[in-house]
Amino acid sequence: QDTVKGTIKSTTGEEVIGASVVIKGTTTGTITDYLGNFSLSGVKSADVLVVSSIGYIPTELTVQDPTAPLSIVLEEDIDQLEEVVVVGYGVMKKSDLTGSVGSIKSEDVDKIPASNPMQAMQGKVSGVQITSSSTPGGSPKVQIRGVGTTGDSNPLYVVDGMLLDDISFLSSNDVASMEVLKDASATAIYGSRGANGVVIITTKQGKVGTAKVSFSSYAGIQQMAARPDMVTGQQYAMLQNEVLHNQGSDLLYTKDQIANMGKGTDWIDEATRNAAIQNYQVGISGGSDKVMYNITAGYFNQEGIVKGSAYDRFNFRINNTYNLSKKVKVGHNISFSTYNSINEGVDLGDAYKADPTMLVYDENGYFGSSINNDIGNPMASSYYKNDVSEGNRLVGNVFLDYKIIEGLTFKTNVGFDHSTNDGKAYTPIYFVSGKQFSDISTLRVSGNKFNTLLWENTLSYLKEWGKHRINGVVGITTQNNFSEGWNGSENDVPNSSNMWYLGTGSADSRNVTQWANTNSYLSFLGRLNYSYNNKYLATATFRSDGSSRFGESNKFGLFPSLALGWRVSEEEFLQTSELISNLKLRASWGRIGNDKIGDYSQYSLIENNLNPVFGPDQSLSQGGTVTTMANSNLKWETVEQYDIGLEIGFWEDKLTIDGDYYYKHTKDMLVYISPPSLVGSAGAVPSNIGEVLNSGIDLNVTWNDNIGEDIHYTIGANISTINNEVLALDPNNPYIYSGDLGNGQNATLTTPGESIGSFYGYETAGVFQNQEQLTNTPHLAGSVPGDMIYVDVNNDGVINEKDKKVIGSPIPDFIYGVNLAASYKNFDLSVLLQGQVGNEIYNAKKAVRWGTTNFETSYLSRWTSEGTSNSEPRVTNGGVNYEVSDRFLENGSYLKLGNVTLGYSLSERITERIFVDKLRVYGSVSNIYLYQPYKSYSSEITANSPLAAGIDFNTYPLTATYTLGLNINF
Amino acid sequence: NYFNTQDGALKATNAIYEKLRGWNTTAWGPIGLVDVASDDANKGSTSTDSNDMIELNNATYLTNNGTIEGYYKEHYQAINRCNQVIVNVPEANFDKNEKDRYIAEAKCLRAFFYFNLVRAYGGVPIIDRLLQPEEYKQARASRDETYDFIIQDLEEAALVLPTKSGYGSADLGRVTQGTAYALLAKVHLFRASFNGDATEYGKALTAAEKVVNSGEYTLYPNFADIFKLSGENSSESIFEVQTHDFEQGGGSSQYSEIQGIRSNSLNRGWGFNIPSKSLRDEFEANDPRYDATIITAGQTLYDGEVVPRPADDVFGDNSDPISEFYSYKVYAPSHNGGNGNSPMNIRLIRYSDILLIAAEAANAQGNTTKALNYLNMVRARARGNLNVLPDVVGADQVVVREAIWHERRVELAMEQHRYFDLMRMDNVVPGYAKTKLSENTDNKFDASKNKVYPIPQSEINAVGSDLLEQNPNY
Repeated sequence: QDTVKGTIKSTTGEEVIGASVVIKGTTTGTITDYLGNFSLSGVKSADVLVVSSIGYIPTELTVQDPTAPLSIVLEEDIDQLEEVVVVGYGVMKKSDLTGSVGSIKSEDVDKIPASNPMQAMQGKVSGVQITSSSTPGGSPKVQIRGVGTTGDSNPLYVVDGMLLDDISFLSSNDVASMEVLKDASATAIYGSRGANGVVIITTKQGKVGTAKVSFSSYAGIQQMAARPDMVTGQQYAMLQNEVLHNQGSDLLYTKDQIANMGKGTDWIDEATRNAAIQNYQVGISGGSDKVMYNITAGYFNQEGIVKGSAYDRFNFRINNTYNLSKKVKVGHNISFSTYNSINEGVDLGDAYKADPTMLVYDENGYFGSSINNDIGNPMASSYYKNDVSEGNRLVGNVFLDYKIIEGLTFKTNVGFDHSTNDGKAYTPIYFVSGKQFSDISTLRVSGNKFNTLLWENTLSYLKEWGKHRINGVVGITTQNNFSEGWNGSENDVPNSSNMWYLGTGSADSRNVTQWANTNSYLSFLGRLNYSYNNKYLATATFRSDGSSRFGESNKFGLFPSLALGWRVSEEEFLQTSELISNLKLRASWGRIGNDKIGDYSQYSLIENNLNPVFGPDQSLSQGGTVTTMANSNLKWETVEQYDIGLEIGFWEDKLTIDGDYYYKHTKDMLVYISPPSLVGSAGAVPSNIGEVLNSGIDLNVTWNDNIGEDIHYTIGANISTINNEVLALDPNNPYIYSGDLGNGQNATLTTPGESIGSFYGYETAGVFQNQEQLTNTPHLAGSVPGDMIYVDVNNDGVINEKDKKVIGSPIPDFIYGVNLAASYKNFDLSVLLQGQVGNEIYNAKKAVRWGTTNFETSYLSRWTSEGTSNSEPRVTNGGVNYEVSDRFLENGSYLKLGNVTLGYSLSERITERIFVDKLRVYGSVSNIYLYQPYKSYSSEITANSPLAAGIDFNTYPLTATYTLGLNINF
Repeated sequence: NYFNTQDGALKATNAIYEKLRGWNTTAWGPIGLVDVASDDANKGSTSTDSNDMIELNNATYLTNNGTIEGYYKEHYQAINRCNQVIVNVPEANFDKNEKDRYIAEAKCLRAFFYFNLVRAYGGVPIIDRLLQPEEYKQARASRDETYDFIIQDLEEAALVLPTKSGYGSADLGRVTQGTAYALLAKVHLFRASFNGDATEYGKALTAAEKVVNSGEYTLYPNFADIFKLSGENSSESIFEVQTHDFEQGGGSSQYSEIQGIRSNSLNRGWGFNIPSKSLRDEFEANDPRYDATIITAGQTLYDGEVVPRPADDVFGDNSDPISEFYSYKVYAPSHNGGNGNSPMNIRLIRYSDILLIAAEAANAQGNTTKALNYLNMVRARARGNLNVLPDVVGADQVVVREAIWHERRVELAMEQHRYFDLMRMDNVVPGYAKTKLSENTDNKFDASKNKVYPIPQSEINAVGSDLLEQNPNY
């Protein structure tokens, strides 16, 4: 009998603390200390040791030589892995969590064929609204728990500890997990940047063991999932004649011409195609107890379904960890990506507007032109367009962990993000028609680079005694962002791509400008998590941020939060319940900030190059002055958020329900307000004005079961309600008009009592059928029978601005998702349904008519004489029928099949023979609309500003994707 | 501080002039509000092009007309650039004479911008400083208060500004003492039309005669040549926006392009602002100014270009009805950089304008002899050595006024004076504007409403209708 000594580590090389080591069949055992070490006496040769720890798969090993030290590796238990959740500046047991955190795992992320991993979150996590973008390489719009600001409402991304605004560089295959921090208890640790929610992304790490090679790929076809219906050439000619008739002009087409017109050109068909998408990733990972590595390389290529657009990206990643000693560990996660984007796509706006009687090519093979439509030939524009951009991005971090004493760890982490982008666009001299030509050639080039350096130092402490457990962290961080760029243009550059550099054309026409921006932060942070008897939980956090973006008096902001939790199921009265396996109540409060406003907003800037001409020889003199007003009192936007949560599990967690009610109150909202014209400001002025309330319920229900031995399945459903209301704005003028349609009209209004960016215009009440009705009804000047009837809301007998009202909202009442995952023997199936309900879309492409352009088929049901239509007015190219009104408001609800994947894995019998660990093939279908009342390219309208969301000019069409994929592990 | 140095202060002053090349301050805005809206011009271009312009042509505009909004907005941006100088430069430490001149230039230009605003909209909020966020909402001043403010700026500027010859040649294009007095004469003449106050006519005459007697200006011998590149900054130029067709751009205005001949070649204009039949009929027989003002399709221009006729079908299609007529005063011969880079200066105030103001003011005061003297100077120059346009004789005050108004119309046609003049004349002779505008049968002009344009709805939304009251009947 001897004393056996040993160390227990995880596959990631972490010492496993508190693991139990027991001699099988006895009660003799011990637990590991904080360095993972144990010593157990009374062990004989051939005894079997049982090693176990929560979250790991128990393992047994037979002692050969009791005097030799043991080195044992425990593998994480996949089923129990979700017990651990990544939170800001640390990891927490899910059971200890007091905040609201949603998460998805790698296998859900790489299922979705998209360049940006966030697309995979659509319909999966409650409280997160993802609006797809199908642009090649495009990023979806992400909104967490409503819209709390009229400014930038994008969340903060934290990739392996690096704080980022954009993750377009990241391959879905590299993602190990994504956690969404939703409530203040979870986000307040990110202080001034947490108000829009935080997405923490952890990339895959190497594990102790022999080298494993993995290869995954998919390839497929994308198709336009939906499109607007346009009239045929013949119908166009007829409607055109009617427009001319209605304005008292001579008709353009004779009856015979119309009769022989035929279908004409479908420009949307011409502009689009079935396009390829493909993705390949190869990785090698493994490690010893000293070094763990994961090295991957990937390639993603997406052709645009709009002809002339494409995107590809190579990405490389090296995530290594080195255990230098028992106390010191260093590591790095470094990613490099390079992309290439071709932006020569056919202008969808032109394709929508173009004359269907125009030919793509005329009988001589030249580009066709239109006789009465100011929109040129869309295919010709694309043909003469040369526009490419490319860039490189290096993102990563290098860290050092030092275990000072038991439970106390110091970590220093340096993160960096460096990117460069270049763009080049060239327009040659060309002639298509008298309206579509360029008589000079122009080269435009641009370049920029962004540099961010983050340095974080944290001290974390973990201690258990008796029934108490504390887990705390304090830290100090600094971040510096610098960016600069330049733009240049030059005329008369030869039409040959190897000449497309400044200096090859006319020197006199050369124009080069440069710009630069910088900002920095200094922050202090801390969190204390306390658990008593695994039953009562409390978390307090604070962060103090200083930002160069704000004036001296408002530089620092303090962001605290407090949360309590009660694990009711740990109480004795529920311990024995067969029905309820888990029950936890949580409540949190906190204050978080948002600083997403441009650098230098508090200063008056001199705008240069306002140069007049003087003198007999007419030369330029230098001019420059303040053109945009500044606001020196600018400060943080703050959000106060309350959250009450319930987690409940039934029948050993076969059924789990987890729900939150949240109440988010934004104050001192950062708003760029366009001051009254009389102020004379050329640009909008940043201000802290207004309050917004977002409240709602996030609910997830999951059912997890087996049918017989072979069928395992999970059905999950989630729903998130959004109630958005502006509580206050500038009391003197509580109206923010936005949604500029480009023709002098605004389609949205933000005002107290309504949701942000509500659609605002006239309510329609049919079409004037005859002169008598017109005479007896209030109407806009210039109305004639056949024009829209607008409702005289204030009953004053005239129709004017005062009769406009809120007619809809771009914010849905709720969003939902339904997931099914099932496996049967070697088959696996997953289905995702996703949708939203209760929002409207403003069909701006129809509502803005610049003159003679094509018509949607809805025009065919127009009014032509009394009794013909009471919804679609007579055809005109402008005038009273094109006022902002509910005529152009469409139902934005939709339900789509987000993804269906069916996979088949070869059985072990076969894989063993061909020396692979795993081989899986699958087929997948994404983005098929099942229900979409809005007849257009997409019901998912991405917008930059929440003030002007849901306005559809010509959104890039949603693409339905059909792919076949392969995963192999060696 | 930027404005403390002479370099910064000068650049800030220069930046005001840059705004004079603005789309809304001197190009599209006044072409629409002052010419197209008047009886001198039709909208032009294709039948559907620019709903704003159609509305202006027919007086059917609503409160959200983008051109009316743009004119308002850009004028206040220009006023802000003036205020930057007027507020910041007095604190600066450099040569006092230079400093005073910059401030005087800014005041003269500020008066010009307010004069446009008060004529277009009536009394407007007077912003004479740089507003802090809490001061953004400002009430309208009355028309009289606005005129008082303009007159004060001009009187102060006139005392400081150098004469035209008092500037160094490199400063050609800056406002001068003559500019300030010329504006003052116009301002008093307009103000007189509202209150019929004889002393306003007296002040108009005094200011106009300061220009006449300064010896700085003479009528340019050949009327047609004024509007060629060679006629830029001619002897009768009192206020002229300088533009140039640099290859890299940055010195031009779209003024000529908007009104240019709509065709494939030539100056590739858009063909807006077409001389109306009413204007063409206004010219006396054989008035040489007709040919200097109006291009007729098929004509060969002074640089040899031939203007296409509608029948020529130059676009190869029938989509762009080319007009039979265009304004010759904005014709810019072949120049660098193509479309939109026109080098043609914009003649804002010419000496003949001031002579006709002097004539009108003298006549209103009963001094018909003096009035006829000034009027006939303008006619004499127009006729040159041809045996046309005889001197106006006679002593009836009303007849002489009619003669002066006729002369103004043909002398200054298509130079963005007419609509404002027409409203002024309508003040003197109620009903005058409606009669003149009714040649266009679609025109819905209503004197109880359209004598001023509506304050843009967006501005009323932003300030609040209690402070910024809409003009009557909109």
